[in-house]
Amino acid sequence: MLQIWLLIPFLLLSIAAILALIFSRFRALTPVHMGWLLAPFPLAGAAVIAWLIFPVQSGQVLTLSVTWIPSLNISLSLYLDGLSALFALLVTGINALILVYSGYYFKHEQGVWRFLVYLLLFTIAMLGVVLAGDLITLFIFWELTSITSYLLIAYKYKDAAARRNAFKALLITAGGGIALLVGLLLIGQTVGGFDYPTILSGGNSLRNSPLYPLILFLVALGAFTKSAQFPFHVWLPDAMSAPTPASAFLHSATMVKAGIYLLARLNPSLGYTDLWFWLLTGVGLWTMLTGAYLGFKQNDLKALLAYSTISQLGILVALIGQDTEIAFKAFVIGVLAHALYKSALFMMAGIIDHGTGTRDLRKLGGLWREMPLSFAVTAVAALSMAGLPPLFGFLAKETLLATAVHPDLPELIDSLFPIFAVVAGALILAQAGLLVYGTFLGKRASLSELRRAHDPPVWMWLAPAIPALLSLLLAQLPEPLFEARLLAEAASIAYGDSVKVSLALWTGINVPLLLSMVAISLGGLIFLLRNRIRPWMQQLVPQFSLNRAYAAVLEGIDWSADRVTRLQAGYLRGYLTIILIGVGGLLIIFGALPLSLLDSQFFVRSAGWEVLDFLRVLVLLLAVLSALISVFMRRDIASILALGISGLTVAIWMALEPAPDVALVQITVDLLTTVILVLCLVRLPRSQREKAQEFTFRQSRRGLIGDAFIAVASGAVVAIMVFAALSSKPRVSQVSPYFEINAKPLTGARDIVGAILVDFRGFDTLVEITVFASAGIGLYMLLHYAARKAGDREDPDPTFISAEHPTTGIVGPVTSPLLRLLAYSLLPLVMVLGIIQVIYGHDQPGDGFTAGVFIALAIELYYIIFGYHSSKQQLPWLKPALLIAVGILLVLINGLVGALLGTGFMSPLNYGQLIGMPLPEGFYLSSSFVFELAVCLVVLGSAVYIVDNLGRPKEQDSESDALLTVLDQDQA
Amino acid sequence: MSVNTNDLLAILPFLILVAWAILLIVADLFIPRERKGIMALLTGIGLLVALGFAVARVGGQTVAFNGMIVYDGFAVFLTVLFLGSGLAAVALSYDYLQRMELDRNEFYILLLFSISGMMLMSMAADLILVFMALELLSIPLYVLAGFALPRQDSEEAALKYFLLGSFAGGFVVYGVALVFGATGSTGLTSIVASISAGSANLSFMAVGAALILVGFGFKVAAVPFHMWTPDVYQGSPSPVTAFMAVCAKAAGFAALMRVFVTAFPAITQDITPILWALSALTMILGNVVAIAQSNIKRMLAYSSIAQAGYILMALVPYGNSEVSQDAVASALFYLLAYAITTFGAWAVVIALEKSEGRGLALSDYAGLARKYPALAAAMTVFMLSLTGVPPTLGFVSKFYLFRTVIEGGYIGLAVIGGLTSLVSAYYYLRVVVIMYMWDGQPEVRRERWITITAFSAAIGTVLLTIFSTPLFQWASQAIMQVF
Repeated sequence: MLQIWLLIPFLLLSIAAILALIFSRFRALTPVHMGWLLAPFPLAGAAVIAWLIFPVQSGQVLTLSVTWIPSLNISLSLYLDGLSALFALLVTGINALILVYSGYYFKHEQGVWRFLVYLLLFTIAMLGVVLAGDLITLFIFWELTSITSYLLIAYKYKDAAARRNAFKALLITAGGGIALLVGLLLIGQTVGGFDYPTILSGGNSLRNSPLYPLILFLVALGAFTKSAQFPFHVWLPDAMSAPTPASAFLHSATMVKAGIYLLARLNPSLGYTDLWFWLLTGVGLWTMLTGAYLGFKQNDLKALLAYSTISQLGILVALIGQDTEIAFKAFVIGVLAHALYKSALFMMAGIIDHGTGTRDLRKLGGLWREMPLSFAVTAVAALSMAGLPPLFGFLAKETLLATAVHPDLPELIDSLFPIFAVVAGALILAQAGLLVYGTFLGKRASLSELRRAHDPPVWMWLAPAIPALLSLLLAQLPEPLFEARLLAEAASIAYGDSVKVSLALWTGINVPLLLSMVAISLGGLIFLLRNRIRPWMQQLVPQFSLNRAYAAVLEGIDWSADRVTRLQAGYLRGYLTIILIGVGGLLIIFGALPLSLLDSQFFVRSAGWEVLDFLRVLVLLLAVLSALISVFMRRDIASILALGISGLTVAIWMALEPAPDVALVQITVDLLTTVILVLCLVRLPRSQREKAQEFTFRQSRRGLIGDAFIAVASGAVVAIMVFAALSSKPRVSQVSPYFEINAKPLTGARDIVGAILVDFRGFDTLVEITVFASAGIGLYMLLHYAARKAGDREDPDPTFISAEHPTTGIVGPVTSPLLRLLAYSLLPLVMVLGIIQVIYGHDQPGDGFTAGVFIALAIELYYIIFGYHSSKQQLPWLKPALLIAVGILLVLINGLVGALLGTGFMSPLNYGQLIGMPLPEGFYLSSSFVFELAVCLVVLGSAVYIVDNLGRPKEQDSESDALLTVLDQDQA
Repeated sequence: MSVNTNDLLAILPFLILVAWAILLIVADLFIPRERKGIMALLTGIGLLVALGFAVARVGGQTVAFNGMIVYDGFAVFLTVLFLGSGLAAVALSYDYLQRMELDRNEFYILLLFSISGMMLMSMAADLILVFMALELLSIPLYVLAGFALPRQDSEEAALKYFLLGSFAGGFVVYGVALVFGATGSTGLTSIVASISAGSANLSFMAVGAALILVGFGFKVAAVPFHMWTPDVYQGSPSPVTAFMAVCAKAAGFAALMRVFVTAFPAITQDITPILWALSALTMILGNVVAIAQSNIKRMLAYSSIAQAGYILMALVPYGNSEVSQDAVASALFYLLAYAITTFGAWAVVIALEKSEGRGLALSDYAGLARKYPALAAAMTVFMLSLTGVPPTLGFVSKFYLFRTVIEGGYIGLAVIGGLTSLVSAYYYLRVVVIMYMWDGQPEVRRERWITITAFSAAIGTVLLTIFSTPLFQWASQAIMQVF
């Protein structure tokens, strides 16, 4: 059960994070105390990892796995081998130092616990990345490091620049993370699992997969963004707006190493190809040069260190790309050496900043007297960075140069690599010199602030001293066993085969040593000439920076967002245009338009003309004419009437087909909608309507032409489809015969349409009347308040009884005795008609729906003639809510009776026959009859709901009025 | 038409809800005017009862009404989702309507009608019925959008939604007619039969399918049929917007999935490129334009457009029978995650909203973390989840989605999805930054039900991520009946 111990470091760090939260409650605790109290936790974590890795034999691993989502084959797992142990030890060890250091760094600040919590959260995330046992766990922690590092960089959140820089880091690293996710998913799909053993054994299938270049590209994108490789390195220097302890931890030792770790981890399965080699070596070398070059220009200590980090990361990436034994030896030594000296130097930069109040090299100088201890630590670390003996950094550079002369390399790189390495080494050496000389030696700074420069408290000074000292000792101790073994183990895992790592500084006079001499001499020369070179460099290409590219991308996104937002102008006309263009585009681009089906035969008519055909043509012409009128008429009422006429012509067309049932429905619906539309318009004050009409036609010529074009195009598309449909129509309908044969025997109906509505598709009808009911209620809802309000506001007395109607223009009193007589006599007549239609709905055209609409139309006439109030008095039975409820319940009960009698829900039943009632011929008191009746009631109820409010809404309703008053006040 | 008890049982939750809604119309007449809470309570009870019946049927598989209704795992999953969302909507509305002085009882009745339409949509296996369901769910929504009358933007929202919605509905009808013409039937079963018998006219069917796609593309707010979304979302009362953003979208997808996966695999070649393009466009446009928004309702509107793009992505490989079940399951899972997160986010928005559309600017969220740390933390969870950052439900669902799409072989689309997710981080995280890093004095009305919704959604978003196995099982059980 050794694996369980893998959780312990996480547990310890979580406890530390919770403790830091608790500390926020104790005012007596200073930041220094907090740092000291928290530091033992990561240290203990490091000890646990060291203890765990020690007994693990070469080639063995510790894994701990918990199934998370079995169906997706996802588990959360941890994994410890030499490679992860190396990184995990670095993470936890340096974290302990940083915690102590942060305590002193923030000595006089409030709310430091927040920083400590973020720091510990980040450590957990980072530890998760290196200890993850599968790609999904790795990805999750990977993104967590991005987020927690955002919190750290933006710690001084009141500073807008800090926020912006933090955001930049987040965007680039998290964005790379998303590319990585896709890459990891592809890996998982190719090898059939996400855990390391599967992936490491699936190297060949990955390399042979056609997706390999894509996978490599995506994974590299993730790693490069995280590890600040060119051209994604732009975020790292900006991330220096983080407090220095965070920079020391994140941007030297840990987070930027995550990408390196991933590449090393996946090398055995993704590496060993030309593509891998060229991609990694190329990007790595270029990054190395870029970082070294840009770093030498800097005046800010932290910026200088940041660029040298970029350059170092470039070296590491290039090494992974080489895939040779010696390269991985150089790799592990490089990782360790860099983590040690760079964290020490960052911490020293913070100390210098603290002691003097500036990090600007131009203001610093000659501080060795005031800060002797700091000088010593910085010097040791900087010498290691410069790669001078007898420090560990020397070893790192030696092995690096050794790889450069390795014979396995392709020719071009064979010659370029040493040159790159030497130049970069020289520049880094010069940077180190600049750092030490510019700060502690050289011309004394004259600023008065510098006078109070002092060494930090001993423990603050010790935090960087420990890694600095380590980089001295590691090179001096004769073959430190544990360390060498760990490094060898790590290198072997990344290499995929065993790697020997010896840590001897002196290996005799050989090519690497000679190259090293060249690099040191060149570096020294550059350093000596720094006062000439640096100003020249600073002038040379200061204008161009990739930051511009980053900013341009963001601006581009903002700009396009803004542009597209402007399309959203709020005009329905524009929206409709876009929908139509979208539909047209879809149909045309994807070739879905059935042009091929357009059959020329269709246009040839075989039979001669009959009388009905002339009638059809006439009706067709009428339809076209009325449609045109409805478009070109400027008066809205006229347009609506024209539209109504075109609807009626369609009804005639249907009646000629002959489809009397459909025609009947078409007529009633057309009438109802026309009447409702007219009533709606009447509700609006004339001035508003005129304004609206004017607005509709007041368009630029271009706009009108555009609209016309869209209208014609839409019409053409529909016409093409209709033609195509008609020309490929089968001679015998596939649908009708079934109903013709089965309607009578199955349902007892002679009217097929009635049978379809009530029996064959009774369920649809049930839903449909529910829809109708909800529409009625909804309209009531809207109109009840809106119409009332509009009436109050705009038109003080929109009455129909006035001498001249304001909108319809009908002169004279509307309620002439003749009209009243008409209304009185029409309603009962229509009622009779409705009842007949309900009763014989099954045998003749017409049904419950048409009956309901007919009665509703008659009632509308009532409303128009008598007004709301007296209509209500004269028709006391007219309660829409009740009508609807009774109607729908009737359908349900009617259906249930069948279920109770055992014939099934909504099965056709003849109640009259069941009871044995004597009924007139042709009338069956059947379930269909009840159904029709119910439909009639619902339709009537809903229509009345609408008319109730449109007809004459300005009646007393104290409650609504009160509500509107309140709303008015609110608005005011 | 012979219908038996089995048929009745299949639509029992739907029947209960419809009957309940009708009873409430009548009950409304007898509820005293000052006791308006009763209506919300009754609505909640109705939803709970229906939910109970729906949950009791998990795992069942019934074909009813001669194949017009299919009550399978898919329908159960969505029914539960709709009913649960309905409860959340009632919880959000109750306080909100009172605060805004909009508490009229019709609200809840319309809500119930709309939910019943959505339930019908999830089990409809007949194109006519699909269209009915579309109407039944849409018409009450049109009205609900205008519920904040006489506020002008609410009126405008209702009108725009109605006009464009009926326009898009026309496309569905036309599409249904074409499919009917091409296959001689509107039932999905018979359409499949007609295709396999070779009697169907596939090119007409493809046109019909494309038109149906347009209609439902409107409902789910896919680009370029999304134009109504920002205006309507902004103008509608916020709880209605939340309901629309979750349920109307889910219902649209329910129809798309049911119809396309069941009946249209034969025309994959025609339809898949369209779906691909729609999905990519929707993700790109929704996410990019959301950046430019300064009003949180509009921002969430564009975000919901973008999310529709992701769900559409799951549908792209629908014709590949190897991944089609996964496609459906991942889309459903994504919808579920989206529903929980969205209701949470809207609960926070509603908590901060004041009358006359104040309190809706992004800058109104400044300083929220200092004054109401719990609420800000909840909002952070929602924003992270919408972005798809681990450890939230949004991450798990996006992961599943991407995996399915990659397995279906559409890597390019997955990459677009990934990159647009990154763009989305830009505006989602901005809300977090504003809450935590800007100074301000936001005012929040602490209302019980809104708070409960926000916090339970936040807790759910995190906890369901960690213990997501049952959810996954449930989603993978939500198998569609295939003929």
